[in-house]
Amino acid sequence: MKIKGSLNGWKVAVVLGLITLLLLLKNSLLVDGIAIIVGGLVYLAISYFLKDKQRLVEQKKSLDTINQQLTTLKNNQDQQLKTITDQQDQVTSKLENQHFSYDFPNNENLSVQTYEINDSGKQNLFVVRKVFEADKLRYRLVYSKDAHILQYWQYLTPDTYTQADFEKTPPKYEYHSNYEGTLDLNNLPSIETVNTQLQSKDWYYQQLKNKVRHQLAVIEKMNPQTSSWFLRKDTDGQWFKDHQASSSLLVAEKTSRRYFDLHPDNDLAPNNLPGLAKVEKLYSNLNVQLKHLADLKTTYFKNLKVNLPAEINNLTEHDLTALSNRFAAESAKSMVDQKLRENGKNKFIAEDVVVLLPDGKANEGTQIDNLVISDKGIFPIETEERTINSKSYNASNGYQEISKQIIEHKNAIEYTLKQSQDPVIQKLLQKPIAQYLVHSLVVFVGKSSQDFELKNTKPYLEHGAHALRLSDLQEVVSEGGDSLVAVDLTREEVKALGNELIKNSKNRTAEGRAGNLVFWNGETNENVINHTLDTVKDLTKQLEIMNDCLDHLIELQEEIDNLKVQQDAINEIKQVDTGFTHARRYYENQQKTHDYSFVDSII
Amino acid sequence: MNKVQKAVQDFSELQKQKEELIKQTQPEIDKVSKKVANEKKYYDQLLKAQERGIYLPIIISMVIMIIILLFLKNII
Repeated sequence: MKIKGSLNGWKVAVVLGLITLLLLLKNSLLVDGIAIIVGGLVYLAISYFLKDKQRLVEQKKSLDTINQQLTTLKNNQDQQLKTITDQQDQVTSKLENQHFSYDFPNNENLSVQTYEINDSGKQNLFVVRKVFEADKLRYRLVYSKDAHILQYWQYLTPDTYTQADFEKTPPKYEYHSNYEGTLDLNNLPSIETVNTQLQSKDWYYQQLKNKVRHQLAVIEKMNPQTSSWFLRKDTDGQWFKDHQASSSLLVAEKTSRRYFDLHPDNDLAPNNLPGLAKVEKLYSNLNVQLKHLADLKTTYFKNLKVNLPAEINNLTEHDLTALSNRFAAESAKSMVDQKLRENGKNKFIAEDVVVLLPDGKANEGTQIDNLVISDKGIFPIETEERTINSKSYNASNGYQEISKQIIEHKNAIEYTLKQSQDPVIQKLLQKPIAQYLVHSLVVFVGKSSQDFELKNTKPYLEHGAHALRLSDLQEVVSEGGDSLVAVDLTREEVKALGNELIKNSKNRTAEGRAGNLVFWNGETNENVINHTLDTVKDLTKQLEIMNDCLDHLIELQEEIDNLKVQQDAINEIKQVDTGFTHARRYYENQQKTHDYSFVDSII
Repeated sequence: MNKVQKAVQDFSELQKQKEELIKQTQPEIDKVSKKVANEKKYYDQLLKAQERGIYLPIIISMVIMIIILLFLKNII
């Protein structure tokens, strides 16, 4: 029985059920009862007629019977097929994994062969034969069951082989290689040319290697000390003192000027360190070579043993400016000193005199640029080198800083004298004139030869100091300035003051300062410095030669590698040609004799 | 005849046997398979009809009940 799909049985039943329920509610009980009874009877009657279970059960039974019959048939077939397949496996296992000796005479040391029967399932039965040289596969031959050669593979390496497929007409020849180069196979040079080139490059390579060895020996013999040519701290880790830094700078600059034969005309100008600039350049050149060598070592020559630093320290811009200023100051002091010594009779004259500070450590004090002691008194001089380009100069420039120095120096001198055990000085200090002993001077030195007038010098007088030009210095020190209180010291007193302030100065030191540099470990011997510079020059040259050799070695190695690739390619191509010739010859032979005795022509 | 030739021949022989066996048994299997397919189809139809047949008695009995409720009310 079929109900139309679109009616959708259960939906119709639900709608009718609802209508019936509504009508049942509206009607009398009697009518409802009759309707329910009649409806129930109708339902039972129709259900009885429609139900056809028996037919369904019978159909199921019949289906099961036929199904069982089919399964039995299939099982029978499978069992029989399996028996045959097992027999086939037995046949193939007799060949597989079994090695047969390769008895045909050959000059390739071919000694073993194996056979496999292969069934692709579509009646394409074929035999695979593999021939080995020791344990390396050399030939793979595929035959049909009628002993027709189908495929011929000749291996050069496990990944490189020639393959001929005779199933196709005409036969298809292919070459498989793992070579990944950018070689133009059509324009390969002859093997003889490549061999000759390789030979000569190899020879050159050996020569270069010998040269590198020689250079290494030369460098080792030089035993270069190239860690750093200047130091920032002494062996105790302390900053260098001013006088150490100044004297080392003067020695370094003057020695290097002589070494490079330089004659600058102005020691106060900004470019007043041509000698050190040259030395710096010398070390920079060495640095370039050291860095190049270190790079080569890390990248290409890891086993190269050279006892050299990777890089040496360079002077910074800040260092150079500070050194230039220091040198200018030192030169200015020398000029002052020289000027003073023009009339230095009966005077004590000195540079960089250290006097004790009232609140400082024992034997440590402040440094006075120039000091003169004469019968006119004590003259501590603050030397100021300035760039002066006009006819007048304002002396109050930098007044704050200078006045601080003046006061400090004056106090320090007075304190040092008070500490003196000399009876002459002790007696002098008790005289009223003692308070007028110290006459501070500030000398302005122009960095250029420009003549100038000093202006605004009055503020210095507040501290009992005089600001003056270098040309006026002699007059002030010898005659005493107009505004100075006249002091007339005895020769004995001058001598006592000289001894206390200047001679004893050697036993005192100024404080160390950051930025003070000492060159070549404070070496003062010119010959030693010259020898060091010679060594640096020579080492740079020798390193340059060695680096050139190493660079060349790298280039040469690349060329040799490239030639070897060409050589391999040429040899490979030769073998490919041989492989195809073999394949063709074998095919022709097999065409004649379809025989599993395999009368060989694969060699 | 060498070992390889013998193996190939034996293998081919067995392959032929396989083909022969399939040739003999396959028609019967195919025939029964076809019969199974037909029986199955009929069985499925019966099952479907059985399932759908549930609604028809309900619907008819309800229609009759509605008719009784609508028209016999006035007579009784």
